[in-house]
Amino acid sequence: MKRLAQLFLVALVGAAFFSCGDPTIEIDDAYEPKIVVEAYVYPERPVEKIHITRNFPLNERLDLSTFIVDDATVLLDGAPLVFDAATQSYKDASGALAIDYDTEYTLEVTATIDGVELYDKATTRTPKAGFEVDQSDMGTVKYGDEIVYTYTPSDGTDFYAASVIADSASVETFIYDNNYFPTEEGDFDETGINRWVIQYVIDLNIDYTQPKISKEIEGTETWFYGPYTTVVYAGDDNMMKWLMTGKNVQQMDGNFLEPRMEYFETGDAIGVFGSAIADTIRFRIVP
Amino acid sequence: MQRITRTALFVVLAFVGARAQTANISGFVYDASNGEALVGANVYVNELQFGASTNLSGYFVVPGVPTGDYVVSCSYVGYESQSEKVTVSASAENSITFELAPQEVTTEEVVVTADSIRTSEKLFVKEVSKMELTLEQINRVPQAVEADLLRTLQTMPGVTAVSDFSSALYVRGGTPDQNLFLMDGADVYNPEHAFGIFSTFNTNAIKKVEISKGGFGAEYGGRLSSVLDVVNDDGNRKEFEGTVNVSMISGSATLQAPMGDLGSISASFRRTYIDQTLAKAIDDIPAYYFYDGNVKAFFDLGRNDKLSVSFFTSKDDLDMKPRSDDENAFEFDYNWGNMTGSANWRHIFTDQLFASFWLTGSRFESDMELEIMDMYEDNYLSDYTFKAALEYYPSQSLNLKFGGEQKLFHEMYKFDTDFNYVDVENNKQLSTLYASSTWRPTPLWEIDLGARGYMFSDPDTTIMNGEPRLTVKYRLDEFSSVKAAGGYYHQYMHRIPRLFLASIWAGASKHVPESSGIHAILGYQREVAGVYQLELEAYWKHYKNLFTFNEHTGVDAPPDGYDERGRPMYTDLENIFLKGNGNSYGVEAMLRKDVGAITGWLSYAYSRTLHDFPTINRSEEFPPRHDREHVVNAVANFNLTRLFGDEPTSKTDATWNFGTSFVFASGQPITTAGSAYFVSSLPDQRDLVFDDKSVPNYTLYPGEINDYRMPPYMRLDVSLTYTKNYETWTLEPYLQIFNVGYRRNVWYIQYNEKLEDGALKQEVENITMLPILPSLGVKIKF
Repeated sequence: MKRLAQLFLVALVGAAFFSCGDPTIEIDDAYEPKIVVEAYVYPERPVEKIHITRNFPLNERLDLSTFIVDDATVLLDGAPLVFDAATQSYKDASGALAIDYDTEYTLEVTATIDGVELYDKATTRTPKAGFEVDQSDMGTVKYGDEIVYTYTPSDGTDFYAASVIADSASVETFIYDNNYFPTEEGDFDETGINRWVIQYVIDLNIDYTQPKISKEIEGTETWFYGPYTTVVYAGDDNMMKWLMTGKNVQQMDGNFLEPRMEYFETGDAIGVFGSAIADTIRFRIVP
Repeated sequence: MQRITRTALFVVLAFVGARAQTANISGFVYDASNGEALVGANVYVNELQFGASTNLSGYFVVPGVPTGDYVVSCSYVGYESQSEKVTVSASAENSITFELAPQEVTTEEVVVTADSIRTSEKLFVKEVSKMELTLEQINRVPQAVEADLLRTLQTMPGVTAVSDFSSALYVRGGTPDQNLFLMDGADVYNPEHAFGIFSTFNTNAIKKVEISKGGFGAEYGGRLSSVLDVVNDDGNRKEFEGTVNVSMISGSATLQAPMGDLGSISASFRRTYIDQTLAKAIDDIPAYYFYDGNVKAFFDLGRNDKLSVSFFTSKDDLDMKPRSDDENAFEFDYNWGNMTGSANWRHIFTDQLFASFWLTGSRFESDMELEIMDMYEDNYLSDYTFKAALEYYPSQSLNLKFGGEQKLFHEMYKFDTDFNYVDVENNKQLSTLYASSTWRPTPLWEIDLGARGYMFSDPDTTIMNGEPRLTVKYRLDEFSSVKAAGGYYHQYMHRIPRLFLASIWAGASKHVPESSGIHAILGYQREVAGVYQLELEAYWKHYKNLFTFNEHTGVDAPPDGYDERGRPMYTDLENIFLKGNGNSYGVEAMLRKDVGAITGWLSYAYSRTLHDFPTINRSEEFPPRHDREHVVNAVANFNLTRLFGDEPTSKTDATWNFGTSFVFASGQPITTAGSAYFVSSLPDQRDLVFDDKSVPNYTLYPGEINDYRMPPYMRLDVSLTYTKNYETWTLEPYLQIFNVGYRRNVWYIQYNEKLEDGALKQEVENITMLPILPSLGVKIKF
């Protein structure tokens, strides 16, 4: 029995040695080249800012100037779009493409990335006419007071999203004594601005048969004093899927899940091709 | 040759039995120290090479014994074996009561002798894929801070964990919701405390634990993977007894007392005290605590009638308010818990007909409130059950089990925010009947054939299913046997798992059908050197209609209507699950020793699990997160006093115990980010992103689902326990060191970015699990 114990003791020392350390992770090359699309069409507006870029592998240095794909073949309903160097995006140079309400449009993209020819297409249906916000200038609001905007929905569109952008975000205008993450002055610097400057609010599955819809901009969307610009969108299904799932790909335990991008037909493209009606609100937050 | 001899013996006995007068040997097995009935003790008639196991009452019956003189042996893990001579007479009662003494001061290694039950026989009697643990074994396995039932089970082959932060059991590729947890006969729906770190079972109150990893008999059902049956102490019938345990996070007490001739009562309570200590001193530690407690009364109403009534409750309470001085500040309140009650009447109609009736209630509820965002969640599942289980032993070669149960479920889920409102409330019923027979055509063979039938109904749908079950055992020789088992299983309750939040249970419905599974198991068992148990098993499982939470529920679920505030309302769980199928297969090997100065087990498990969901991984098969190919466990307890010191001679001697637990497991599969790209959330945000000085707002795109394996998980835990027995009480201080090698096992990967010379560099950061965690505690028994 004592011999067995001695044997086990040796094994135990081995196990202790074996179970020490700091395991290293080397992520396999899971990279596959994709066309990245960021494109929206708006009724009664010109076709522009159709961004075609590429994805890039992780753990590799990337020159940001190389990810814009300027030699893609981009067609909207069969009509070619051209690359505009000023906006680094594609547009309808002819001005002949008219975007209407409640109409389907198909975007096709062909591009060669990392030597691989990729092709994909997606279709969007523009919302019906009718959407508009009631009050474009909401004036000045004291921090902590309710900020509510009201809009008329488009018939058949149950998804609305609004960007909330602090126009003069800075270290000086940050609301240090906020109700959520009170911060000491000095603990917030310029690198944190990007994290808080852009927020958005979502209205999902709203009752579009109602004549008016009200939506509150919560305190979690306003982190700076000063002027704000809010663009409210009546979005199509593609925009909804992108906004609800496109960046919501990491669970709390770090594991990834797939976004819902089934509007791209071949899987060679990721991103979004959607349509929307946009309207703008402005307001100012003061202490 | 021996096989032929046995067969001949059986034929002779059967022939003699048919001619000669026969009678039954029946009786009870108790713990001599406290009068507790011992469940699962082995009773064996040496001359017949035949025996029986005790049931929940400690009752056994060996039917159809030809009249004559016999030696009947009784054994139970952790107790001294005992033998009694009995003269079986057709006119007498032939009743035996064994009172087994705990092996606390036993100094000898158990030696196989003519009057004790062989290890091989105990292995043969054991059901396929079943493992048993006693309170002593659970307490001797070193853990994080304090003994934990579920974490101990995670050290058995075929049972795996996903992380240090989870006590959930993944049995042979199944998910935790596929495990049936029974406490004194009542279903427990959420067996976890502290977001999964601890289990709700207070180990000081446990009498016996059995886990069946698959192929279980017709008396169990309603889950696809496993059954964990926990029986709590009835209470000391001889004298007042108590155990107090103080660890670094909690205190617990268990008290037991006789109630005269009527029976006994037992009560346990455990509570953490972080909220009263560290949380008061350190602002960043939230006010969190959990407690659990149970009371069990046992009434001995005579030889033929036993009644036990038990009640269990547990609660977790979290109150987070970083700025307690500001009433408008962020505050998060969350509490959840179980409550179960059961009454169990056990009746011996005749020596050969035993019945057990339960009336149980179980309720799991959770309640969450985030006031500053006007978000409230309220959820519960109630389960009221009546069940009956009867056992009939007409002869040695045949025994029958049959019974049924009727369950009433009431499920409720409410989620209330400014944006939407979920209100789901249902009543459902599950009616079950089962029957099985165990047939021993010769002493070499044992065949268990059973069936179970269900009718599940709610106001919109009725589902009926049948399940065949089969187990075959065959003795190869006096040392070894082979077993095979198979069955069809159904599950009607589905769980929505949520990380760090309590799960939500939902019954099958017209939108969410029942799940089903098939098990096929082949096993080989062998006694080695008298006291070692060697078990090898291979299994294959197929699952149909597996459900996983749809992380993009909001996109897929159209509202069922709108409330007066215009908020979308949801009144069913139609789109909350994704549905798929799956397969698991594997082999397991375990060498186990339950007696002597060194006890424990060494095990290896190989397993693979693949899921197939049409909406995940582009419809390609993928391994789920809990898939681990190779797992090695080595668990040992050394009685140092017996190994290296003088043999203890009396109960007042002190003993030292050294416990170790080592685990090696293949890394978990995870989904990594395959690439990154730039797309703004909303169109007007794009310009802002790209003219910034700091890192642009990029998005990660996943690679293939769970295609990457994390580094292997390894951990060594040790414990040192000193036990000093005084005249009337025992002092037991202990030291436990979790992860003594301080291995930084990876929990998940975080991606960080930085700009270098205008270029973006991604870096991988490991988020690790628990570090080395020493803890002290003391247990006092009186």
